[in-house]
Amino acid sequence: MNKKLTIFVTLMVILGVLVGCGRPPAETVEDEAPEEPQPTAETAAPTTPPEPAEEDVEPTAPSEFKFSTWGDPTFFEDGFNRMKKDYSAYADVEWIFVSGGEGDGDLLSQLRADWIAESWDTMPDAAEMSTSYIPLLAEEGLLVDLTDMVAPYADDISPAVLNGVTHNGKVYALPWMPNTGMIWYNKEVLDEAGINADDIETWDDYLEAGKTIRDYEFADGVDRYIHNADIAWGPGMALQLMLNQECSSYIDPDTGELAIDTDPAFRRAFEWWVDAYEEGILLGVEEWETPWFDALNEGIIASYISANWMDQVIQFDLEDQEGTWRAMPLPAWEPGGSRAAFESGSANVVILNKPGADVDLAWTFFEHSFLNEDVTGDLTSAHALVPAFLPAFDHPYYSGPNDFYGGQELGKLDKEIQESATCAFNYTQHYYDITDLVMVEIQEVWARNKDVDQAIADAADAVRFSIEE
Amino acid sequence: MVATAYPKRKKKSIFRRIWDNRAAYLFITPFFIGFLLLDAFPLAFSGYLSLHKWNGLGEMRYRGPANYTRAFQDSRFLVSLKNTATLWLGHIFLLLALAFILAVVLNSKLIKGRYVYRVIYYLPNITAIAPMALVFGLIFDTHFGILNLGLTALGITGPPWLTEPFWANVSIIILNIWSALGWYMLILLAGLQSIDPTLYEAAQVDGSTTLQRAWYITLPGLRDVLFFAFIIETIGSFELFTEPQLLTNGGPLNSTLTASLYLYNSAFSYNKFGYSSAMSFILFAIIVVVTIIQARLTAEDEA
Amino acid sequence: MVLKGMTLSNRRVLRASIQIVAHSVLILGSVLFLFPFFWMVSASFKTSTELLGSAQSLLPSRITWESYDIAFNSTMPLLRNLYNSLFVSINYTVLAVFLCSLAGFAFAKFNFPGKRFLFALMLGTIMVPGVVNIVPSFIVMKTLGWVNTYWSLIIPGAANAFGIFFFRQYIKSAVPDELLDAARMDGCTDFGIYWRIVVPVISPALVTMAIMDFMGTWNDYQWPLIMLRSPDMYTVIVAIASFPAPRFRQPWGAIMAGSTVSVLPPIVLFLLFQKRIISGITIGSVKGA
Repeated sequence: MNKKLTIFVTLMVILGVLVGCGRPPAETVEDEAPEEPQPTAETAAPTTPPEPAEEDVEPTAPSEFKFSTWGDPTFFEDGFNRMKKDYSAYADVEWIFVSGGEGDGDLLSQLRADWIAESWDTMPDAAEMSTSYIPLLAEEGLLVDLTDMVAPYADDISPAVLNGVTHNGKVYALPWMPNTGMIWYNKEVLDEAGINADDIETWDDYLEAGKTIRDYEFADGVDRYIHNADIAWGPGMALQLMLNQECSSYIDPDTGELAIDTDPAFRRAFEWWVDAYEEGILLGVEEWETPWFDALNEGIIASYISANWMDQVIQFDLEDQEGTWRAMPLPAWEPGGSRAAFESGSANVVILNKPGADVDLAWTFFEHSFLNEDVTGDLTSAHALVPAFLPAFDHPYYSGPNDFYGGQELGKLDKEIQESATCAFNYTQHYYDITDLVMVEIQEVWARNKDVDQAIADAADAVRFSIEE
Repeated sequence: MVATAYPKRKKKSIFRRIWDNRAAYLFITPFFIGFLLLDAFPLAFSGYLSLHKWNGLGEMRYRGPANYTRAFQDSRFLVSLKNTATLWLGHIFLLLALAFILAVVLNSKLIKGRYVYRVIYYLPNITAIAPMALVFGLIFDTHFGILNLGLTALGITGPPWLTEPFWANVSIIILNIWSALGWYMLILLAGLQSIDPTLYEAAQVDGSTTLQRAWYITLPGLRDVLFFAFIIETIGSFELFTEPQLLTNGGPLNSTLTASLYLYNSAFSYNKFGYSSAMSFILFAIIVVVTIIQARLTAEDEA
Repeated sequence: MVLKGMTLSNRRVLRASIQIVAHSVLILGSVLFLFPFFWMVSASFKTSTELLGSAQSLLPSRITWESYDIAFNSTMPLLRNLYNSLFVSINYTVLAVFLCSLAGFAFAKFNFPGKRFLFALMLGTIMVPGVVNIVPSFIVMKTLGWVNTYWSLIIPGAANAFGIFFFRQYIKSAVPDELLDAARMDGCTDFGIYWRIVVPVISPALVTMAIMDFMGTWNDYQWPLIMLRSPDMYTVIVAIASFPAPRFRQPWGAIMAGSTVSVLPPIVLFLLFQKRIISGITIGSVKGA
């Protein structure tokens, strides 16, 4: 009986394989680009970047456009469809979404694999990309130079934002949403504790406000905190914002040298987080996990240092927060100092530099979606996102009061910050390595294993060791 | 030719022996084709890479053995090796002991519904680890996780499972055992079922105790399978990656940074493919040495 | 269980107490083991606000299909993804079990020149940390033209060192040489010996390995992510990880719903296989003949 069953199963499976292989799956990726020479074992990587092909571009309209993002593709698809309506030449182009996995890392892995294997037919035509990855990919020639195409619009985007995607003087990505740094706060909690957010102008003020909240006895008897200390990770994003607002980076953009042990701005930011922790004004839960969301919901964490995209979290991830929250620009380090910074994230689109790349199609798509006075505001507001294209702020969604936030004019705030920003953070390809090392040192100080001096020195040593040429 | 216990025969020529065993060569050919393409080539590629500096996209720059010497000075690498060893020793004996007990119990006719239990204990192996790690993260949360809330109800203050170095390691071990136990239980179960029941009957007739039977029949009968399990789990342990990545991401304070995780981060986050390859060869060497030692210790006679 | 000097009723009591103790422990263990599942399924039925609500509620306040709605009505063709997973996993499993048991048989019961070397070589492949293999493997797949096809998921790794090692150990201890000699005397070919003698004897191992191969390939994430490039080719695990989501937020509910759904086919198949074990595969009838 066993034997018969085995034979039967085997036959079924063989049949299945034959049937399955005889009929290829409905939509396989067809080879659009001209045939590429097969890679041999010796060719590890192309040593010179291929030219963006002008000669190789198909004379006829392309049939598909592959776009990759790890986030929500419906936003981009929406933009693409709108573009198709206005550009009849592209009316028949099929939109194909290539999943970028769960995060930037997955997307980068795919691009890398495609690039090394010269797999142009699986590589997307365009992708959404984090600012922090631009230096590496631009350096290695994966991105099409957009300088000339962006040039007419240079005044319509914040110089700091544009600088962020500039590498060796050339623009390699189009920012479509700058992650404008801001602090979101729970107005009800602050009001109850007698704090007026407009009075918070410096980080010292913010720390003091934290003490007030720490000491205040709230009506419901619950302990509250002005912010959270992510004890599993550290203040990664906040630290980067604090540096950016002072035009500091881990690595000095002019000298290329590690700056963390010499830059007073770094030390100041580092110490701030240690002081805040020591003063007990920080709750200690892991961020982006349910308990953290809970704490935000209940106002146990009264504010959060992040960026403009926090709007989506508050509206869609928290419950019943209408009217409760507001946003404010980052406090400055000195009275009157800079209050503008951006954090890295997926805020740009790029065109992949592959042979046969249809730059026209991709750029038309980008231009129509993100640099268009009629379309951009409409498109981004429809998905509750914020544009980098400053004229788009004339759209009613961005120029009027935002009811969800008690009538605050968030669009105006964002635009003001974008316009007053002057510097871009210098990411370099070492950004994640350095961040990991610095975060460990902050945690060491939090755990009372070291003092600040030791921690900064150790961080600098570890980073130098790690990134040495 | 099937090896037998017959008295020595004339020595055959090597060609004769190859021809006689042609079926065996045929049987192992599929593996070796795959081996050449997907193991040998990547290994060679990796070896070549380990002597270079490469960010995964651009040119490779030759560095000779510099990557290797650097690895031994890299405190993160050394810490990761230590963590790997700690996690290995901390879980393997417990895991295999539990699996063995479970297999024996669920093989015994005394236990009704043992098939149901087998399914239940194997279930953790069925889900992809990613959503499970999410769930575990939730359960293990210090303040709001159900585990600590449950402990509090019993009057015990739960520890910070994921945010303190010692407990983070414990949590990883728990997740590891939870997901692997059913797997080893099944393997040992299959092994138990291969032991000739007449041996047990004979022993019973001779008046042995249960424990004696377990010691003299079960364990030796399972020796090959246990050996397999121990080696495989050790190797898997040295390559432990998914659990520390998803549950604690190497933290806190790099206390759960395993060698594989550091390797992975070095390549995919820090863009150091050459360095990562060099470290992976060092790890490979360690695994080989440990495996050989284990093989010697549990020396078996060749067929 | 025989213990000298025990009366019948004492033995019964002992037996009963053992059963009680065993069952209590087993049940406790089961609860612990099943709890994360239970949590996952429960979470999949919660409303999105409940998901982010207090961690204390074990059960959703009411069953809501919201998360399933998101999971199935997104741009990700989840049903197609489930089919892909099923197709790939079944074919991989059959191929893997066949090839590995065959090779395991070769290593266990044949004495051919170079065996020790080849076996060590094979074992060596398990010991290589697989992290850096992704890029070169992709190159190979690309050269073969298997990127974004079912082939890239079914063929590579079907004959794998790990499975071969397992079958080698198992066959060594479970298949007596005398049996094989007898078959050879009867004029059986080597493959015939495999098919007629070895396979029936090692069926528990075949089933066990089949289950594990199936699960392993069903749950694989890293490899399919690199090899598959269009949503309708994705396996279900990749699909779950790729649910469209507003940036910076994990679609918790949809992930839990997707995970719950992705667990169902393996469980169903697993239960069917379980029956097979139950339906009287006995070693005893073959051994000692």
